[in-house]
Amino acid sequence: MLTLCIDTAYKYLSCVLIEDDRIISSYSHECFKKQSEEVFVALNEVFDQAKVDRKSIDSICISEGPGSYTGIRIAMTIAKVIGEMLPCDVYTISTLRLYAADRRNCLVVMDARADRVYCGIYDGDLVVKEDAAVPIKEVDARDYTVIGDGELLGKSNFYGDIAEAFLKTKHLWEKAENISFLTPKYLKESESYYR
Amino acid sequence: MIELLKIEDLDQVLSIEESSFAKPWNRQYFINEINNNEISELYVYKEDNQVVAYGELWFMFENCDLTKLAVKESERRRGYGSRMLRYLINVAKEKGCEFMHLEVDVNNEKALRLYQKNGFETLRTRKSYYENGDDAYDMMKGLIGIESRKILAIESSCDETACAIIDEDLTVYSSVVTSQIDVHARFGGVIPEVASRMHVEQISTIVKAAVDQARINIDEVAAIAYTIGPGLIGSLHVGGIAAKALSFFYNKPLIGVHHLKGHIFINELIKPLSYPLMALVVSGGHTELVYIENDQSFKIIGTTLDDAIGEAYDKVARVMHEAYPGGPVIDRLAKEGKPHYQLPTPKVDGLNFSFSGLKNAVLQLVKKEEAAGNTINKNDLAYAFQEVALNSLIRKTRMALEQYPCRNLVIAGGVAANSRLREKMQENFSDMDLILPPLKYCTDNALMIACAAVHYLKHDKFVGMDASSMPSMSIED
Repeated sequence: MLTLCIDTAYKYLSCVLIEDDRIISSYSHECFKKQSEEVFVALNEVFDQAKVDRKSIDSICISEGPGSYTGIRIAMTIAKVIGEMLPCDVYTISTLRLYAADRRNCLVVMDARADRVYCGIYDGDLVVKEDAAVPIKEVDARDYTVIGDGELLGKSNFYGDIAEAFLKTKHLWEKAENISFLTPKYLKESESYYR
Repeated sequence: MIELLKIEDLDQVLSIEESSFAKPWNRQYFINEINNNEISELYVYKEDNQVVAYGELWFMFENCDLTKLAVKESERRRGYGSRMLRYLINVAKEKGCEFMHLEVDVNNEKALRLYQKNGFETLRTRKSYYENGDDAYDMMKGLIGIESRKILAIESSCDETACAIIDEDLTVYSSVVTSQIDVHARFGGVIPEVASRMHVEQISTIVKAAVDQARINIDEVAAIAYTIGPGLIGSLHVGGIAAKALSFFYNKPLIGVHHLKGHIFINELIKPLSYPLMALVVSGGHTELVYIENDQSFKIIGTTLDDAIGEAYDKVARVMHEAYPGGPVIDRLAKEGKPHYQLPTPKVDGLNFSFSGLKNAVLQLVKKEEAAGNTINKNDLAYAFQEVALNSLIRKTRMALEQYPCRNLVIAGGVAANSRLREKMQENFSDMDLILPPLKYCTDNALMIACAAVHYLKHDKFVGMDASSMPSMSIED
């Protein structure tokens, strides 16, 4: 089974082709806010490297958010349109869950602006604390390995190998039953924009 | 929409048939053609469930006979005959036919012109072919080697998510639009983040619906087009990514269309444009006079210095505590209004426009009346605003035409749906070849992007996969 994995949710642009349990090509670069221009250039590279036909993929897996709104919409739009038209299966995984990969006692943190962060705590496959947007001062990272924007918590920034993370979390990917109903996981409701 | 004729369409078809032909086919004949004639196929063209045209083909090996083509009397001269014919030609092509034949009364000039325009040539004259003694021309068109390229287009620049498929002969295969206007109406305007979110939700459903309705494979498409600008950046992004995804996975060239060119070129679905052409582009985001020398040369000769006219309508509606969008509301109120309030005429040199002074004058007038304890007559106020605003469009358009003589004048954009503007255009420019787009083409849709994309395709004007959306792109770019 050939799966195209895409993460455009945050600072990195990662595109990975996974065949069964093996990464056959990958592209991962820091690309904050330039993903919509770069994503197809990157996809071109991974397909060229792997020497597989673009339409031969069996599924697409994307990080569904949280993250930059524009960013999470990029992978989501690709997955929805191609999943529907090709067609192929679409899988999703939370961006924070993805970044945690298979680490033990891991807190993933991402800037959500206005002194808030997106934060989730994982221990291997276990979800210790569900993804949420919370004030920075409420995050206590003392007992955890911190992934993501660690600087916000007085540690250092570290995002890990996102291509590897897709592979390591494969058993946690969630298959979309109905592609047309898929929406990004914004974690901030659109109602907040109505005011 | 064009589809196979069904028995339940027959009442409407028969009424057109009886008023169109000296020797009409009767119900039994039609039923026989539908049920028993294995070489015939009947198609109807429907608008809002009303049959506007229909036609029949007979398939005989490599030849196809066009045995019937009729357009409802009240719907003639609107391009339905043309589109029906192009559709039937494509049906014949897809079935592998090499020729299409037909007979036409030599005195039926309109039909003759339609067939000639679509590449039919006269083979011979059949003397006294018809019962009244009229001669007929035997006409033929070869179908081999003329592959019309299809375009799939996506529009998402503001609050409509849309996808359409047409070919370069402007045969419409499908056009699907969903509007978010009900959502945005609750907040008195488009909220960009909300619009972007709704585009993502809808995009795959809309693209799939357009492809399914067209009954094609994306592989058959020659190019993927999308609105590259201007518009809301987040909204443009979604359509752009969707188009690039299709372009990438199906290996098709990518066309980035200027949204306003779409509003202009959709008029070609009504009739061909002739150059030089003057376009008055009026919408919620634009008020421009565009001089178009040919399909590649656009020059803005007048523009608004502040608010777009549609924006002014929205703001005035808000001052009057009326709903968003303001255009239709004010248009409706003004119909009941009479000359009563005085508003100043915007004074701007040259061909440019200004509406913010007018908008402020409305606000001041309302405040003054309220302070004096008078109730505002909304109808009269709408009338006063609309007359002043639209007269400035008419005046500048006339000035523009004096400086840049043109054969054709089109109005384009959402405000082109305004009934009073349409009246005024007709009153003032009756001496010109004026094109008023049908109301359904005034709001944003993907058909317009596809119509413009036909010109980009003709000139091999493509963009790369790394193209950026351009929220404030000029039509001159």
